[in-house]
Amino acid sequence: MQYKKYECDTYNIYTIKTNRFKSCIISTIFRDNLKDRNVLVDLSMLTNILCQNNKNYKKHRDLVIKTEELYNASFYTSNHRVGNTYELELGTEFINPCYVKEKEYLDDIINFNFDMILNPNVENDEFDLKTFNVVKEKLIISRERLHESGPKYSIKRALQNMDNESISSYYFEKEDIEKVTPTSLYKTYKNIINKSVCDIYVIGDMDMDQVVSKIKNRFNLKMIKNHELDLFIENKKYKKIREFKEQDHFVQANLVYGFNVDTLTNYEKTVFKIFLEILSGGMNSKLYQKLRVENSLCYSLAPVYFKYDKLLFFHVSFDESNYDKVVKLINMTIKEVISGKITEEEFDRAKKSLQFSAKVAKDSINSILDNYIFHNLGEVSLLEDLEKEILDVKLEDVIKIASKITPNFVYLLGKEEK
Amino acid sequence: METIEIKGLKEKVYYEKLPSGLDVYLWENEKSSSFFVSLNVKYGSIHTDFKLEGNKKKYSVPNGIAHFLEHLNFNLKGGGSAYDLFDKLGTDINAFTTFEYTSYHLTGTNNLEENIKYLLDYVYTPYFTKKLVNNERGIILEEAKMGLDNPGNVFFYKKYENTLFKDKRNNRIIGSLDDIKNIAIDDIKLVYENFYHPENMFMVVTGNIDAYKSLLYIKEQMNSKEFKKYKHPEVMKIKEPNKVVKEFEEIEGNVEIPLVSVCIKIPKKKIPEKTKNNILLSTILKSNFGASSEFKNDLIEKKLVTNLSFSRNIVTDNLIINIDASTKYPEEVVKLIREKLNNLEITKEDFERKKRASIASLVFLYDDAEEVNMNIQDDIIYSKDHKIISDIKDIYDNLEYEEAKELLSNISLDNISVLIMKPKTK
Repeated sequence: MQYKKYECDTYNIYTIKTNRFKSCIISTIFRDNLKDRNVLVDLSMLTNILCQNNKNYKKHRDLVIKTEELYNASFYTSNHRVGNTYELELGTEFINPCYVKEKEYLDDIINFNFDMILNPNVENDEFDLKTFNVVKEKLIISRERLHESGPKYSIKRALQNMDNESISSYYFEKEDIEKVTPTSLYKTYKNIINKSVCDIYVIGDMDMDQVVSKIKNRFNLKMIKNHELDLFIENKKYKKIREFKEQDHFVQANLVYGFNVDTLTNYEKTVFKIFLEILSGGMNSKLYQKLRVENSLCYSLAPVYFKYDKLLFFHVSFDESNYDKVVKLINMTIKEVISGKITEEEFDRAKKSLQFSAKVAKDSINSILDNYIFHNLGEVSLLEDLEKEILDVKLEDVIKIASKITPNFVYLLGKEEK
Repeated sequence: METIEIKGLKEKVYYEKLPSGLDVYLWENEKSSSFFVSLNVKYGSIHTDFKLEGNKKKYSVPNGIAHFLEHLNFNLKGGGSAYDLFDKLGTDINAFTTFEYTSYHLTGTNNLEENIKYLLDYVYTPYFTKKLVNNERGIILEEAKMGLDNPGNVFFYKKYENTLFKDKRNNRIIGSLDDIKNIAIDDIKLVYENFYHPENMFMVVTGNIDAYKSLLYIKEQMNSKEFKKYKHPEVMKIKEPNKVVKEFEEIEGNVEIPLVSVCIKIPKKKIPEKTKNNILLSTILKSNFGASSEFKNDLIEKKLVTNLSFSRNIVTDNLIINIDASTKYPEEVVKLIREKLNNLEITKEDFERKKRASIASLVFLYDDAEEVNMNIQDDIIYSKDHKIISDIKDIYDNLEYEEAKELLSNISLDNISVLIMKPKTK
């Protein structure tokens, strides 16, 4: 893989040349500090509305027909809160032009991609009302449907119980969506395009100089944006672990066990990955062994690490009658690790598993792209270096890192009484 | 070793039937960083009633046994589980059970030979004890309850229940909670001994491999194993009535907005089971209910649905088509879907564009070891003659618009079961 950075006046283009895949991706990312949590509602609306249609493809079906004409290309949008910042990604995945007979195919793709980004379905400074309403309805329903899933709903409620003021616990609701108007949304769109930091990523087996030159011709931004991003969130720590209990309609009880994580150095970030793997990565991890294999208490256990929020959760679904036992076993396991009870075998297993993940990621075009994006944010090593860094980690450092987590809360979503 | 050319896509799959009866398929991709290996048993959740060769006795085992056995088979003689073997290699392993088959698979990045050895060793070395059965029962019960907490999952099985009289797909793959509680070690042993035989299994190895060397190694490993005589278990054939079980049912579930499904049951003989017909039917459904259809566009724009999707499955003697939607106006949407089913259409332009887009997707397919592996599994299990469909691109290339029109005029879509799931009344 060849990584290259092209500095343009108002944005940077990062390319990854690889002949591993038959497809290619052009991805444009806008990111900025999150000054107002309501931007997250707008971002979700934008993510939906910008892939619904645009000025040239006024109906969604027109857009789908266009992508079918472009040999099943797909235009996608996504948004994430990354700690204290937001990220809006808009991109097109398409077949490598070498498989297509039309010589202008790459130009068509680049034109289509930036047309979708820069030419939304807007009239008189407001998004098309019909499309806006469709997207609004869809978003309201998607919010309501969160309540259909025990694991998702329990994580939401756990975070809200943890600290309702923290941005980490912010889940916008119907009332927040109702406040957005076609005009306010377009204003946010313009703000994001004009004021946030913009990077473009290209991956595939193409002549990257040529691709970059074509992008520069097609995509112009007026303002220079290179302000600093402040990623990390400090969530409150508590001396005593807090216990929250609620009830709902689910058959199984859902438990979320939350921890604060201290600030980690780059080396410690790799150590922490190994620590998490030992604790909850796969069937032979400590928590799986204790809860599933030795005690048949659950089917699966999910660690959720909000790296930029410095929060770690374990989610597990089980029969409510086993609540005390489950909590006791998790506490016992964490204590064991902190007191240094990690075998060479467990350490070796975790390292091998992480090396495997780094290698296997090279078979996924999206994983390579994501890795390069977060590498450029200064947060992760390139996949090539990650394997070596994992090898260099020492067992005593994994034991030490265990003390960098502090229990914050235990949340139980139990079964409501009939 | 036989070479199967995937015509028009410049791809090759290698095949050999081993003396033990195991079919082995291999696909090389030197650009891949990993390999994907699956060992598959043609035994799924629907195979609960069977007879053995030379024996008139009819055996009947509880629903959910295929999945239970899949879980239990990970245990090793002498303690521990298959994970202990593969963790040392840094390999990821898992398994799944479908209605039709069970698959044990791994993704690895090094030591292919050891990976193959361990996979064959653990799947072909059963170790079942009452204690292990009981331990696993607790875990599976929790897995089953996770399914009961998922309204989409409940809705999925209810559709089959309302459409199929005798076909075993009207039961959950995992079984009911009572089924799981009732599964006994003898049932598990009976199924393992008769179905987990190389003659009833196939292995697929894809990715960064040398096909020739891999095959030699698999042969060597299989030659070192002893298998009892295959008893050719015969799964009892089911005569599924053409009509649906319930034409309409409204149920309550843990949904926030209602789900609807219009489920059409078509006798298979009306649409001869050919790859071409399946593709034509998918294209017709995509054109009428897919993202580029006027119909879906209108329903979404009018805010009648938030989502509309379709699926198509071959089920014993019938073809089942489902048109599903999430909607606040279930009765109205069902009426509109019914009307649309009576007026299906496809234009030549739409047909040709979809055909071209599908051919492009075939090129993408041969990028990913897991996807190729799954695609081979699909061909072996679901294609009419249970072989790799090597002329798929030719089939697409030769599709004619007139054939789609003809198929449209021949299918009757009036054998319908409607299911509505509404939020529980509070």
